[in-house]
Amino acid sequence: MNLKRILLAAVLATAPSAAIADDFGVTDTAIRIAVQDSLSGAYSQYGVPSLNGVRYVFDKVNAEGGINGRKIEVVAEDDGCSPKQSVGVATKLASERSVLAVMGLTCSAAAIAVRDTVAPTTPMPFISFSSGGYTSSSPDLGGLKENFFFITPSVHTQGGALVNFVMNTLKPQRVAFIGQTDVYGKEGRQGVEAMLAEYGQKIIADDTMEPRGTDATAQVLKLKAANPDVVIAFLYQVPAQILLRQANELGLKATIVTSASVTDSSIYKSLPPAALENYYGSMMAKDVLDSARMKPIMDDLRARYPDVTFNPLVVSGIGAAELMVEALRSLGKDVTPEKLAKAIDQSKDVKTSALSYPVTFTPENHMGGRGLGIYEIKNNAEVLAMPGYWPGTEKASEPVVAN
Amino acid sequence: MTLSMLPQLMVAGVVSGSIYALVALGLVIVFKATGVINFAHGTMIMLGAYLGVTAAGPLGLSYPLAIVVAVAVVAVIGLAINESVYRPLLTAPHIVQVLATLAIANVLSGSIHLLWGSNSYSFAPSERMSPVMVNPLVITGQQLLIVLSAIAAMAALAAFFRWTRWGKAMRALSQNERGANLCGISTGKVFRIAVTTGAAFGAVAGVLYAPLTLVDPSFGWLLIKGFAAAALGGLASLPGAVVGGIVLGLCESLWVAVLPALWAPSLSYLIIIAVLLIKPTGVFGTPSGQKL
Repeated sequence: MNLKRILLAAVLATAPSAAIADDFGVTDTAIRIAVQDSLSGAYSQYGVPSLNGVRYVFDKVNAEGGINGRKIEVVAEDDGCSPKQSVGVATKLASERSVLAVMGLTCSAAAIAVRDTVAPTTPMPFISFSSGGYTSSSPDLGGLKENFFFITPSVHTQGGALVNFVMNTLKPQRVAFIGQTDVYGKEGRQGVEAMLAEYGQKIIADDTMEPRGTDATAQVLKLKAANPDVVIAFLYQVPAQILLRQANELGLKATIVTSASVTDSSIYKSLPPAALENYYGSMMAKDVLDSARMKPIMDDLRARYPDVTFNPLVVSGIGAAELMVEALRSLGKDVTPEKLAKAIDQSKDVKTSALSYPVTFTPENHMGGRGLGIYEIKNNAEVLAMPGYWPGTEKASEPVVAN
Repeated sequence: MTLSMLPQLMVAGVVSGSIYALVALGLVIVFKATGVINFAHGTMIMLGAYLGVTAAGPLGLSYPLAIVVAVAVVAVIGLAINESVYRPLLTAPHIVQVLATLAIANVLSGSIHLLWGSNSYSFAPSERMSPVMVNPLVITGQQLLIVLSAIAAMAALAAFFRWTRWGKAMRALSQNERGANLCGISTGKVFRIAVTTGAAFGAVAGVLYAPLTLVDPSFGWLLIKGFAAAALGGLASLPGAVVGGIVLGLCESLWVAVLPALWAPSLSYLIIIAVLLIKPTGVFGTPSGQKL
């Protein structure tokens, strides 16, 4: 046997044990959990805060001795917010069997791609922080997978929540809608339409904006001509900023309410107070990040991770990690991915320290997010408009105060 | 859409078009002198916006001073890139020079991300953002500034190419490099001036547009709009870049008023494809080979 054959035999003999751990990251002393998210590049503001939210919860649990004698280790994986890259990363994690579960997947397109292609091939549970979970909220909608869960309200649910808030608080006669030209805007419109129908109303003007448009003059003029009392907007940061600025410049007097994708306070700092007088934003957090209720968590987070700029998406990481800890604790020492997925599936009214709503999963509904909290801008700062969250899946006359 | 909306839509189109024209001018300067499409131009625009927002924010400079700082720093970076990367590639095949601009775009983009992260930044609201004209038209000070700057930039460039020694040298080089070299025109110097000036124009576009929006890692996306404007007007034509930008801005504005915005992003690409099919040199461009 020559040297080449000996080396080849050695590689083949050791390769399986090196590449496939086969214990799903569970040892006598540790549990490995992956956070797969957008951690670099243009979309890292979506993944980095929630990754550190997860770390924050697990570090605290580890400092208290871990879960049934095991410390939780976080394995960070960058999916670049790309469906293709996400599927690649998730496939690697699934085939290596070196982590017990996967969290993260904040970008909806990436989450849906992994849910539909990788999740059915592995027993590992996935908890996504994205708002793409509408089709996982009922078996009839075709997206339900037994090991894939969404911690946040879907875009559709957000639409319902905003309508409940608007109809009960602002009591408009005429509601207009503006959404992005992509699936985010489309699903938001469906959610708004469905809940408005519960109130016997229809969208009176419906417009769209490019995610990277430079101008909203045409949209604002058309909305203004329709004379709405309220405009519900499903737009990302940049188009939302352009809409708010130009609505003020061009004299659109309607109250504008945005979905939870407006996450960065730089948007408010760029606008004159007049542009924010008739504006409400929405969020998944139980309160704005600089409020008295969130300040202890945020101070601790900022002290632990001084290089991270936190935005409201951090609460998804905290909420999901706390739910994960509760599910793991319920398993005792016998931890397997199948049992963990089942435990997550049985989560009922789990209250977390950061989310406004308690999380419930059932075998028929894997979208745990229930609704949105509402904030407004006063003195150039976000302020909670009212305590609690407005449900998005059913008609509601008032917000639910859970935490 | 009603007819009463038309004047305001035209204003919006001219403002957007002026931004696109400024972006296109930066592309045209480099192309006119070197024959290279500068794919790093988008990152120069983005860098100008980031520097401007930092100079006006944390550094506390006034907006005019922030513009000067942003443009000066980006011009110096453009010069340094030319000396360190483009200059050694002067005699390299054309495709290598174009690929070098792509490489620079990636390196600069990564560097910007390392320095500023992925967060959004914004200029503080100012009086410039308040309308200076109302009823029937609403025009803000920043919008006026953008349009006037585009006109001034176009005039300055036209004067530069028509009356200055190096402007004439750039034109000569673009027509016949060997002949220009024989007359004592240095290809290296012309490249240096073109790349530095192009970078400065990118910064002007970025820092003028930034107060109207948020500055984030996708800001360099304006490049595609500038490229569509330059392709429409003619990649080597300064008036073409301006006219192309304004036409693109007006088309977008009117398109969104009449048709769903869903199709608006396609407009830039459709224009590029249509021009390449019908008149590859652009509306104002002239073919390189002419009949005697």
